[in-house]
Amino acid sequence: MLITTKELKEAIQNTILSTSKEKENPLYNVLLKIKDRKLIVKSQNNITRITYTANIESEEELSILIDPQKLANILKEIKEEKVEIKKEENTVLIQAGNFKTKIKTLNPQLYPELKESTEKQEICSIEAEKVKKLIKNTIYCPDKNDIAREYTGVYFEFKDSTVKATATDHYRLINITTQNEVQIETEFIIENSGATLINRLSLEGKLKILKTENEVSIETNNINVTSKLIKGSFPDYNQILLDKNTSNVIEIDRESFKNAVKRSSTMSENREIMLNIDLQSRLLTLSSQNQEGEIAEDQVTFSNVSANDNLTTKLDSRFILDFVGQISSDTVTMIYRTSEEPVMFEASEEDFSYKYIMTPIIE
Amino acid sequence: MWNKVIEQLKSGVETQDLEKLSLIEPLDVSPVKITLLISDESVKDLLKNKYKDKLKESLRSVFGKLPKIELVMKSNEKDNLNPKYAFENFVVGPSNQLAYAASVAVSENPAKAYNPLFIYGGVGLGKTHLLHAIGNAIKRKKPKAKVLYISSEEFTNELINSIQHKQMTQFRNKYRNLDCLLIDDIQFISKKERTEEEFFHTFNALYENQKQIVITSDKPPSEIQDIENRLKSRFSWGLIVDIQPPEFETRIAIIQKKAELFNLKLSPEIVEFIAQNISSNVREIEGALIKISAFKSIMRRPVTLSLVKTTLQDIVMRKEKMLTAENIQKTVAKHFGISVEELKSPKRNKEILIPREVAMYLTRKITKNSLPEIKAKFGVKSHATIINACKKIEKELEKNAELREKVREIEKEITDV
Repeated sequence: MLITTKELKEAIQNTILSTSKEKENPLYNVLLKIKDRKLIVKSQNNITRITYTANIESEEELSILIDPQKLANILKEIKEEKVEIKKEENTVLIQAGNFKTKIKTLNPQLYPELKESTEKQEICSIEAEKVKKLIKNTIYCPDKNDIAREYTGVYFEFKDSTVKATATDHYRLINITTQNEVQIETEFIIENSGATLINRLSLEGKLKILKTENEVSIETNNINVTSKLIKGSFPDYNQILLDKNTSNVIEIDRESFKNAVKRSSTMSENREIMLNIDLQSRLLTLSSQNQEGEIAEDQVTFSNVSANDNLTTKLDSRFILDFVGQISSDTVTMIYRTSEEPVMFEASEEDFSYKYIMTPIIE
Repeated sequence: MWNKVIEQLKSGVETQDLEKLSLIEPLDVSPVKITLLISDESVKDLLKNKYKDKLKESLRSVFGKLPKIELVMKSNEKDNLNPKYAFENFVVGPSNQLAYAASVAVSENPAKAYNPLFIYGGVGLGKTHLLHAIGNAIKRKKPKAKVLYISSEEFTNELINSIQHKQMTQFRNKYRNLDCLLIDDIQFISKKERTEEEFFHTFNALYENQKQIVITSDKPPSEIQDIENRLKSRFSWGLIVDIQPPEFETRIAIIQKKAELFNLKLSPEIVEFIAQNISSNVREIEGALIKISAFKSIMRRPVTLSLVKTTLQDIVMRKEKMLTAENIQKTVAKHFGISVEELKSPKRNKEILIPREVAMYLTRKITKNSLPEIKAKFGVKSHATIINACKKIEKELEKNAELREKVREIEKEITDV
């Protein structure tokens, strides 16, 4: 049967992301089915699963369990618009123009097809770009090896026409908010690999987020991706966010701040930099020093929003750069109290607002 | 399968019945028997009479034969009780022991001990906890007892809905057939004539049928403004008890109990620090522990006194702002209707002297200011003036109920942060 090469490439490129890593495992393969004029490719591992569906012209039927890596490598080299696939006993013949190859397949019966839950609740309809950004800008934070499972994923909240994503590694916490209508107010912690997968998939336009008790699904016209959820509750992070009314608040140009952090940390051997806020001169001095006593220092000006106290504190320069490097706002707001307390950064873009709190390095 | 049945049935159903039928939930569907969960009698009536034949026809067409039909009525007896509130986890101290004892008595002998039981006190002192604990205890002893916890606000909303949807009979049946009504924050029904009227009749019906009523409010009945006298008088038929802010030892016990719940190990000095800095409100104690717990779990910081101090900074800062001689002078002056300048002036007429002495007494009682500091803040010549003023006010408070009440109010305003 003839299939559009581009369609098959896309199906494989997406589904390959959710296969098992062990070659001996049948779930290392993807299940490729053609039935009722539909191409259906399924993959799954112990955390996530993907179903890719596309309409095709062929009326023939096919069901094979195939190594997606091999198939992807082959498809990468095929420039013809269509590719012919023919199933033989334990192999599949792939032809395009004068090129042909025969690769082994497994019995599709080996593939455990899971029934999709009928009790999915639709949480909201949202732009794929928004979901990906919420994940991309939080996924660097959790520690995948944290012994408390609820901290290894990304915590999502759907409430009051907003969607929030939060993650922490105990040294810092990132919280991003975007406006979006929600159908049911809910919250969940998505598995780290589930969130990473969604971020890597080629999703476009509007998608639906649905939830069952243990899983969350993202549905578009042709991709249905499901990830397990982490059981447990995410602590009330609002409790640790600094209150502007009882803290010092200054505003800094983001680009200048980012460059100053980069430059001033060049002499640091362990990413530590010293921040010194002098309200009188309105200068934020950043500096680092190595064991040989060599120093790098830079200064940026700031606006005093409502600060009464100077500050000298030591922070992890990479943690700061992780945050200021990912946002595009003109300014960042820095909220602080004392050298021993966490420092919080806030920023706002057109559709997103960020809160990023980090603990100082105390010797 | 049931969806197919409903789809077929829909074609022969009148528009006004569609919504009701679409709310039927299939519990178990097989060609032999189908079990359907229905919301009320009216749906039962539709299925058993009006659409009996059409339903059979649809079932036959979908299943090929007629399965047995079982209808299960949804239980509407929602009690709104929160199981986490029980007598066992209520910390009893001198400030709340009467309210506690009365609540236990009511739960042991509903409608016999005290009816109504009226509990009043400030926010976050445990009134709602006691209401739920009474309800839970009654339900534990008599699982079939019809108990309902509701806030007066929800009562009002439900009443409005019932009026709008012409369901007053259901509303009255619901409330007047209870064994125990637990109504929270009754002060909010003031100025809502129809709610007051309906609550009055609900009260009478329950009272006459010897059913228990427990009411909470932030004030005693006599002080609830804009509420009908006939209601106020009924609230006083049973027992009125108050809950005062917990004293230091009870606060210590509350903190220890709550810390256990949050799995927090607090050293005695931390417990003491929290108890010293949060005095008026149990909810605030809980809030403080939630904050500490969040820091401990998110930032993995050990719970030290320094961490507790910084995490409670908001509360402490607010308190510090309030607990100053300047704020006490301002608050006292406001309550006595004079200016701060007058209060600090050397005038000796009674209207100025009493407020000045009250301000000195409160500054000495609730701030950490030393006598020389107080002397400077009030611009008096010697310490003896302050000591004498404090003694005088202490004596006055023993015999003058009006002044006692006024000073209590001022102190509450200053310390309730």
